[in-house]
Amino acid sequence: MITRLAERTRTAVALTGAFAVVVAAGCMPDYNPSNFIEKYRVIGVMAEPPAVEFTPEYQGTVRLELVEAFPLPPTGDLVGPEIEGIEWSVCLISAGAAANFACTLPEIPVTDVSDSGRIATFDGALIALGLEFVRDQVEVLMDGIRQAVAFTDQCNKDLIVEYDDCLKDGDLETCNGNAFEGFRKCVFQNGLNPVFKVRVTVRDMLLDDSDLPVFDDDGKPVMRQRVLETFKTVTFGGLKEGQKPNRNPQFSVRLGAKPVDDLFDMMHPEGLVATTLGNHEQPEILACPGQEIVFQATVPPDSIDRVTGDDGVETDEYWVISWYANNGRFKKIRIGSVTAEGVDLDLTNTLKFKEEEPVRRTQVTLVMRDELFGLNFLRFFVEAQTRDKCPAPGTLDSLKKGDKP
Amino acid sequence: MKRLALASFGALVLALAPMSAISMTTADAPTVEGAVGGDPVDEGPAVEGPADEGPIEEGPVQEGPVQEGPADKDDGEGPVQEGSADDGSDDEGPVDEGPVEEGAQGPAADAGDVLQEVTPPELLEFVQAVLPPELDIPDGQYVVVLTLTIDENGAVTEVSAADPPRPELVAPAIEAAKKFRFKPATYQDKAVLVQVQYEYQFEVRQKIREVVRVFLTLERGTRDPISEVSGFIEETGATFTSIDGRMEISNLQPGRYTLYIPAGEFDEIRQEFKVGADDRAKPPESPIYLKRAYGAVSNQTIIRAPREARFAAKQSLSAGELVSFPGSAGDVLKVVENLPGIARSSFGVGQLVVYGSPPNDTKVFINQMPFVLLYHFAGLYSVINSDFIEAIDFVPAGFDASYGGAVGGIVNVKLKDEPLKAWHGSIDVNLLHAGIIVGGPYKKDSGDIQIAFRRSYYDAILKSINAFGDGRILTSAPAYYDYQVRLQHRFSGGHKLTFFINGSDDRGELINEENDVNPTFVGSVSGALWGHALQATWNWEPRAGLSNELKVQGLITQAGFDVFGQVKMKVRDHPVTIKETLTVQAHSKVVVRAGLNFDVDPYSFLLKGPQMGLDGENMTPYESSEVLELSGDGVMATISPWVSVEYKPVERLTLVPSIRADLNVGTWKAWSIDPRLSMTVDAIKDKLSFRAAGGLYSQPPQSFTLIEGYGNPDIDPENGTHALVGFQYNPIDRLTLDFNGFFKYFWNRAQVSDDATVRYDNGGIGRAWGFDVLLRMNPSERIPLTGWIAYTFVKSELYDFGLARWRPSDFQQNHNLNIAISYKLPRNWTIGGRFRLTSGYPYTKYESYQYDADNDTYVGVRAPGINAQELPLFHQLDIRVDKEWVFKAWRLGLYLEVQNVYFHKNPEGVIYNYDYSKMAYLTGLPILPVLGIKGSF
Repeated sequence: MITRLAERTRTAVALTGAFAVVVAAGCMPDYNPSNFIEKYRVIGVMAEPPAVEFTPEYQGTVRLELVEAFPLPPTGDLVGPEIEGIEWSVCLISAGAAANFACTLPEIPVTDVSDSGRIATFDGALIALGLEFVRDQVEVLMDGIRQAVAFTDQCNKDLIVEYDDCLKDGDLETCNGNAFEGFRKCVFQNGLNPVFKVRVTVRDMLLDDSDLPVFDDDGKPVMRQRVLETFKTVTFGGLKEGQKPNRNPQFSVRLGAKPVDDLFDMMHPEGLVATTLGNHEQPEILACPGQEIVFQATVPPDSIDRVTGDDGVETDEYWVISWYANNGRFKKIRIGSVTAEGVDLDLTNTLKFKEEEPVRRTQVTLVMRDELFGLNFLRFFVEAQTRDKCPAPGTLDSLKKGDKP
Repeated sequence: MKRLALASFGALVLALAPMSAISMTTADAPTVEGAVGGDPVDEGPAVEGPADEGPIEEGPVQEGPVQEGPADKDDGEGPVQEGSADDGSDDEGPVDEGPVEEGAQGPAADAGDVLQEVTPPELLEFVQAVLPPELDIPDGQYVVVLTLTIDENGAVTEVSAADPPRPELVAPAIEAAKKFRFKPATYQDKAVLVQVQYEYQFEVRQKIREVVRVFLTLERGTRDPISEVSGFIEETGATFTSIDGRMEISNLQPGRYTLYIPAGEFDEIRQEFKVGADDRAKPPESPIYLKRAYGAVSNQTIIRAPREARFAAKQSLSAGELVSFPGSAGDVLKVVENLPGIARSSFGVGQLVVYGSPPNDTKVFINQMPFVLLYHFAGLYSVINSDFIEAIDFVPAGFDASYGGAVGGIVNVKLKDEPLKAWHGSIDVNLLHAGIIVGGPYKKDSGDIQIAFRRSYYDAILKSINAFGDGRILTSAPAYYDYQVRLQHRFSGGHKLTFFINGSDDRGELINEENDVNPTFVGSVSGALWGHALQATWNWEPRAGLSNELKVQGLITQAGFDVFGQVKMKVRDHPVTIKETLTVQAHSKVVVRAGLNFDVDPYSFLLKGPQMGLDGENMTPYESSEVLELSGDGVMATISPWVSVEYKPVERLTLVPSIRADLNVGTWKAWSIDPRLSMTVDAIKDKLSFRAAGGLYSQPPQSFTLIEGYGNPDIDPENGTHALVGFQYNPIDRLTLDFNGFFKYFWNRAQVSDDATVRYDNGGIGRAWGFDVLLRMNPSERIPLTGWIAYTFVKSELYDFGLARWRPSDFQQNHNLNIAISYKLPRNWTIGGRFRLTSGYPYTKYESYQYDADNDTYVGVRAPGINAQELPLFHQLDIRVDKEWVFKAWRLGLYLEVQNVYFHKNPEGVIYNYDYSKMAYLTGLPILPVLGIKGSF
C-alpha cells in the first residue's frame, strides 16, 4: 500500500515543490489577469430564484439573466463586438464539467426569451413533462444516470444496482417500470439540478498574444466569430422540513477603505457606489492616469444563507465576489469569505490605472456567488477626469489611496 | 570452419608428464588428436612466494616454475625457455617454484599428413602463478593439467583444467596461463587457432621465516590497507609483498636498510629503516602511505556485472566513481536517470519512467526489499547516503519471478556488505544540505557498523530571499533529513546477520495569507512524507551449493499533503515484509531458487479531493469537480510464492524458467499467476552474448482506484507481458556495447470509467515498444575516462476507444540521448560533463473552453486526439569539476557542479491563460549551480 500511495503522494509533493521553485524563479508566462475584460465575455448567469420549488404537485418557474462584460468601446477603425445570436437550452442530467457538460439525455430548448435573448424564463412543469417523456426510454435514462451520477448520490447509485440486478432476471418491462419510478422518487426526494446552457455567438476582433487587435493588409481589424458556451445549474426540488430555499446573495460596493461593519448601506448613501438592495444612483467616480481607487464590498449579514454540511453542522454558506474591469487592473481578482487563520476578512480592492495610458470610461462589474448556485451582480462606471485636473505625471502620490482628484 | 579429427599429434605437447590426448583445432585446418609423452627439459626460475603472517611461521613454499617451451617438431623437444632465477639464498620465506613445463614430444607415428604440416605454438612468455597466502597444503609436487586455446595472435583465449588432486591450485594456474604468450601455431604458413594441453607443476615446501619489521601499507588519504604491493630491500635485493596491508620484512641482519617500492598502481616510495638485534623477537610496525598514481584504476570503477540469465536485461552500476558523475550533484542514485530505458522526468523530480511505463509500474527496492521512496523533495537528492551503496541494478524488462508487483521495471539498490576494516568517515557540505557518515569495525573480522545523517537547509535560504513573495510565509519548509545505520555481524558456521535501519523525513508548509485569484485557496499548504524502516537479513550457507536468505523488514510510514484544506491526503501504514529465499545447486547444471514473500500492510487513510485522473485524463478545475472526503482503514496482504530454475543444458546456454503467484488476501482480494522465461547465450566467451526474456507480469492498480467509497474495490490487478531480445558485445577491454529491443503489452489497466458508479475499471489497454543502445567505456590506466552514450527509442501508447486508435501515453518520450563523460586529470582533478537531448513529453491541446457560471471557472475543451502534441526537444549540458587534496590520513574534496550551463529554457509543460486562448511553455530552471566541500578520513 505504502509503495503505491506514498509514491503517488511523493510525486504530488515533488511536482508541487518543483512547480513552486519554477514559480519562485519567475519562469511563468505573464498573462493578463482573468478579470481584465479585453473582449466580450459572459461572466455569469443569474437565476431568480436559484432554488425552484419542484414537487409532484407544484413546479415553479425560474428567470435566467445573462451577465455580460464588454471591452472598452471601440475607437477609430476598431470594431466593437456584435452579438449574432443567443440560444438557451436545458439538460436534465448533465455529466458535469469533467465530461465537458455532456448531456446524457436530449437537451430541451428554452424558447421563452426576451431582451434580445439575454433573459430566459423556464417553467419547472416542463421538467415534469420531460420526465414523463423518458418513461419510455428508461434504458437511455439509466445509461445517462450511470454516466452522470454523483459519487455521493446514493439514491441513484442504489437505483442502478437494483436495475442491473433486475435485468439479470430478464423481465425488461418490469425492470424499466421499477427503475423509472425509482428515478422519480430520487428526483422528488433529493431534487434535480438541471444545467442550463446558453450559447452566445459573437463577432469581434481577433486579438494577438498581447490582447491587441490584429489588422489585415488593408489596415482593417481582422474579425472572427466565437461561440461562447456558458453553463448554469438551478436547483429544482422540494424543501425538507425546516429548510429555507437558497437566495441570491445581496451586497454593495463603496468607495474607500473605511470600515463598514455596522453600516446599513441604504441608510448611509455617502460613498455608496452601487447596491443590489435597491435603486441607487451611482455617484460620479473620476480617475486620472496612474490613479488607484480603493473600493470596498459590503455584505449584509442577513443576506447569507445557512447550509448544513455532511457532518450535520450548520454554517454560513461560502461566498465569493469576482471583480471585473475593462480598463485598469484590479489588485484582486476575487475575494471570498474564507480567510487564513488569524487573518481578517478584507473586502477592499484597488483599481489601478496605468500611468502611461489615458483613462477611458471604465465598466466595472462585481459578481457575487454563493455556495448553492446563488448569484448577484453590480455594475458601475469610472469616468475619466478632465486632463487639466489631473496632476502632471510623476506627481501622483497625492492621488493614491482613494483620494478624489 | 572445418573440423577434422585425427588419431594423434605430438608436436604440440607442452607437458612434462606423458599425456593421453591432445586436440588441436584450426580455423581452416583439421582438428587433430594424439597421445604423447615427454620429460622435463629445463628447470625454470624459483621466485619468492607470498609471505605468511606472524613473525616466525612456517608457510607454504611454492617452488619456482620449471618451464619448458614447446617441443621442436623434429625431435619432439621444445625450445628451452628459462625464467629469471632467484635462489632465495638469504630468504627463507615461501618460495614459489612454479610449474614445470615440458617440451612437447614428436608426432605420433600415426599422425596424418595434414597435421604434419601444422607448426605448433611456441611459448614466448611464461607467467608465474601467484599462490594465495592462506594456502595450506602439504609439501610435495602437484600438477594441474590445463587445456589452452591459443588464437592466431598467440594469445590464450580459453583455459580449462581437469580435476586436479589439489583444487586450490587450479585458479592460480589458470590465472597465470591466461597471461602466457605464444608464437601462434601455423598451418600452411598461416597462423591458426589451436587447443593444447599443458601441465602446470607446483612443488611446495615449508620454510622458516624470521620477521624483523612490519610495514603497514596504507593508501594515502583513505588509510585503506593495500595488498599485493611489492618492494625490495635495496641493500640485499630481497623482495617482499604486502598481504592484507602488511608487508613483513624478514631475514635481515641488524643494520640500516632502504625499502623501495617502485611506481605502479601507486607512486614510488623509499623508506629507510633500521633493524635492531632484538627486532626478531618483537618486530616493530610502522605505516607507509602510498599515493595512488595518476591513471591507476581503483577498485571503484564502473563495471558491468556478469550477466545473470534471470535478469537478462540488467544494467548494473557500481557506486564508486559515480559520486562525481556530472549532473548527479554527488548522488549515486541520481545517475540511474541516465541509464538507457529510463526517460528524463519532468522538472527532474526523479520519476522513473521505464520503457514508457508510468512511474507507478516500476518498483524500487533496497537490498530486494520495498523502499519508501527514492528521492527527497523535488528529486534533488536520494534518501540514502551514497557511501552505503555498492551498486544499483536496473532491470527494465524481463526479470524473473523473484520480483513481482511491477509490470514495468525494477530498481534494486544494493548496499555494501564488505566488512569495514578501519574506521572511516566524512562530512559533506553543499548549498542545499550537510551530512556526516562514520563507520568501522567494532570487532575485527566479525562485526562492523556504519552510521550517517543528513539535513537540508535550503528552507532557510528560500526564507531569506522571500522566494514565494509577500503574503506567503514559509513556516517549516521545504526541508528534509535522512539517516542510515548498518550493522553486520558474522558468526561461525557460515551465518551472517545484517541490520539496516534507515529513515527519511520530507516536510514543508507554506502559509498563503491571501489569494487574489482563488480566495478558497488561503491558509496552509503542507506536505509531509516520512518513513522509518528496520531491515534484518540472515544469511546461512551451510555448504557450497546451498544457501538460505531470510529478510524481514518493518516500516512505519506516513505520507500526506494538505492544500488549503480543500485537497488533502494522509496515509499511514505499517507494512511488514518477509522474504525467504532458498538457493540450491540441485545439479551441476541446475540451480533452483525458490522463495516465499509475505507482505502485510495495515493502513489508515484520510482523503479529500476530486476524482484523480489517470493517463491522458482531462484536468477539470477543482471548483467544477465533485469533491469527496472520506477516511478509513484496511489491510493489504499479499502472499507470493515463486520458483526460478537456472538450467545450463550446455556450457554457453542458460535458461531460466520461473513462475510466481501473487495472492492478495487482505481488504483487496485478487490473485495472479505469472510464468516467465529468460535465457542467455554466450556466443563468444567474454566477447559476445545474446539474451532474451519474456513473460507475464502483474501489479495492483494505484491504491486510490480500489478504495471503497472513492474507487472500485472490485478492480482487478493490472497485467502486462514483456518480450525482450538483446546482445552485449565487448570489442575491446573496457568497452561495452549493449542493445535491447523490447515489446510490452498491457491489459486490465485501471482507467477512469464511463460508469460513474464505480469510477474506475480495468478497461485500459496499452503497449510500449522500442530499443535502447548503450556504449559504455570504463576507465583504464592509459585512459582514465568513464563515460557512456545511451540512446533509447520508445513508443508508449494506450488505446483510445473513442477514436478507435492507439494514442501516445502521458509518458512517451520517443528519443532519449544521454552522453556522459568523466575524466581524471593529474593532481586529483576530475572534470566531467553530461549532455542530454530528449523528445518532449506529449500533451493535449485545448482548443476552446466552456464557462462554468456556477463557479466562475473556465473548463477547457480539448482538441481531438489525446496527447497529439509534443513538447519541444529538451537539451541540457551539465558540467562538474572536482578537486581533491590528499593528506596522509584524510582527504579534502571541493566540487562545483553547474546544471544547464548554457541557460537553455527547456519546456517542461504548458500553461494556459484563463480561457485557454493563449498557451505558453512552462520552463525549467535556467541554471543550477551546486558548490560543495567534503572532508573524509
